[in-house]
Amino acid sequence: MRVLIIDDETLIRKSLVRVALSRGHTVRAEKDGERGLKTWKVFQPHLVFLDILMPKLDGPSVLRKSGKKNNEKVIMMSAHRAFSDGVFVPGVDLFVSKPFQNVIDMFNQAEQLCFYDKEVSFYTEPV
Amino acid sequence: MEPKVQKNLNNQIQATKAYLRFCNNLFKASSLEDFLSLLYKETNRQFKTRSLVFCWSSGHFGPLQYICHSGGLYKKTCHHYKQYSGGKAKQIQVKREEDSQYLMTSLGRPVQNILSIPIRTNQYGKNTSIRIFVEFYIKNHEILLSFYESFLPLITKCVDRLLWKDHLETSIELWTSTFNELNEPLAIFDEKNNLNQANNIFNKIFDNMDHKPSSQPLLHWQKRIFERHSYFVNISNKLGKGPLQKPSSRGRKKEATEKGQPDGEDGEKKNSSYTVYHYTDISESLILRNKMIQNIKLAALGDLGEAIAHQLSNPLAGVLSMAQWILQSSLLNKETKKDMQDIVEGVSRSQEIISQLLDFSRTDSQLNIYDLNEVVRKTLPFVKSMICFSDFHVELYKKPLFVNIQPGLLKQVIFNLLKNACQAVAELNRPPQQIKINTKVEDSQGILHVEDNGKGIRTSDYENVFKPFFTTKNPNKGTGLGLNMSRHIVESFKGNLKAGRSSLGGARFTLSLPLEESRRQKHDISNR
Repeated sequence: MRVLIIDDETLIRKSLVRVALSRGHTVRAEKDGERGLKTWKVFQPHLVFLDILMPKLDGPSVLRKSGKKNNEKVIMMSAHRAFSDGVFVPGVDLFVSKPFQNVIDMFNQAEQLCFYDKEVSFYTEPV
Repeated sequence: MEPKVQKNLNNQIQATKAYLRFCNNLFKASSLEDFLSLLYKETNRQFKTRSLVFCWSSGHFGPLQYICHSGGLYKKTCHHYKQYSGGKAKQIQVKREEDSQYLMTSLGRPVQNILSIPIRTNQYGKNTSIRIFVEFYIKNHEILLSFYESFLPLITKCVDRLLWKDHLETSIELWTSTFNELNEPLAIFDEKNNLNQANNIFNKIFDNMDHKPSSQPLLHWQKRIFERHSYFVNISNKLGKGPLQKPSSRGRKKEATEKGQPDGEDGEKKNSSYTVYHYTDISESLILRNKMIQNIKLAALGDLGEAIAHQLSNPLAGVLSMAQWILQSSLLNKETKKDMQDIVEGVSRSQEIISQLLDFSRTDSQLNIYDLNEVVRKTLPFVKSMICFSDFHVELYKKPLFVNIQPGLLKQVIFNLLKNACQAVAELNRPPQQIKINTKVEDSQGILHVEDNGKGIRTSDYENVFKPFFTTKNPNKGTGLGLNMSRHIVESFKGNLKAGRSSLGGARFTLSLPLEESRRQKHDISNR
């Protein structure tokens, strides 16, 4: 499947890319919301990892402008304590708090969403 | 000349001389006592006078000041009572019992025949009431009255002058004693920077120096801090430095002075500039300012904390994720795998510290119920790095101790006490270095003890340690404000903070807070 990673933190992008590639997925990664939105419209991913606080365009704005037409699953992420209890953004399928307890376990869970049609859940990983 | 005529002439000459002598003495009188003495002697020379009482007040119902002359006995007292009415000189009977009592007490015996003579001064106070009471023996008091009336203009001028002098001397004395007793250094220097006047504390601090003080803005003295202020005072010299000017015949043009500096037509005055140095005590306001700065810093830390935590957490999360990814690779050898595990551990610990720092810096503005034990637990991680070489013993009460506090501030207090304990034991060059912290219940109070085996506190300093700027530490290690602020914080929670001796040999600080009922709503400190 096609996986899109939008996060301004280099190591977060790289680690998620490595995990996704190891599963045989096609991956794109962007470092800000504006570029992420453009790629989203062209690439039409099945799974999107989206950071909340980013330069140029934040995560919720990207999600709103994307339209989310193709039933893709959106995983929203943040390191900000204000969102540690989760955040409700329409269109988000899973919320993950950074740092991830285990990046591979987190990716697995995200993958499962694509295979099973679940309702929105608010999931936070305790630090 | 016939002997009779000669005798009369001689008498007249003597009388005139006596009169002139009396006038001259009146002009020279330097005090109201002098004046009354002269009047008494003169009256007695011509008539028999038992006593003279001079009294005045600065208003109709103001206090009466008295000077009594009774055969050389002087008394000066103050008394409130109603004035004798009427503006004319007259014989009076002392009818009012309290007046009679008062005069008897002042003069030492009852008084009977009194002539009351009002004096109307021209300049000293429009509402001033001045009288002379003359107690006399002679049958016809009219002669005595006539005698006084002939001298009235002279007496009036003399009294006016002396009352002003008395008033000025009282004011100067009041000013001088106020100036000297001021609790802040104050000094006046003339235009040549010579000392003109300085109060007691100024002389004490600057050791009676007579030159201008240094330009340092702050002065530290006996644990007080003063801030220096200086300002100029211009004093106009109305008389000028030359001799008095003779009025010109035309009435307008004025002659030059000896020094060749003519006055202008309006009479220009020479000005001299004095400098006043005033050191204001800012010790209290410094404490308040520091408290305010601390509060602002804490608030700012709280506000920025979230943003800073995010800025730190994000890259750390990246490092952790990448490390986790690399760890699962089968290409790693045992040693590299171990290294990667250490990286993961280090990052996790950093994240934990960020979380705890946020907890620590957060200050709630409202009081709420918290468990004292929990506050201690949340503070300990920040102290552990300081006490890694010490024997650190923690013993918390087995049940929660609910107290009504602001947890952020109480954490600051506990942290400060533990920091002091760590610094105290660090001065010990030999093991063991011991610190103990424990909580318990005593008389419905939650008690927290922080003890160490450092050098301890002298008994005489048990209260002094809570005073601002009191410190026994190296200047680089403390400002001496920590314990003062800690006590203020604890007292704001209706608690108490005391210093004493520990069984370990060093100092013991005891914090006590009133316990709240456990069934009242308690707040979970983990989210605070």
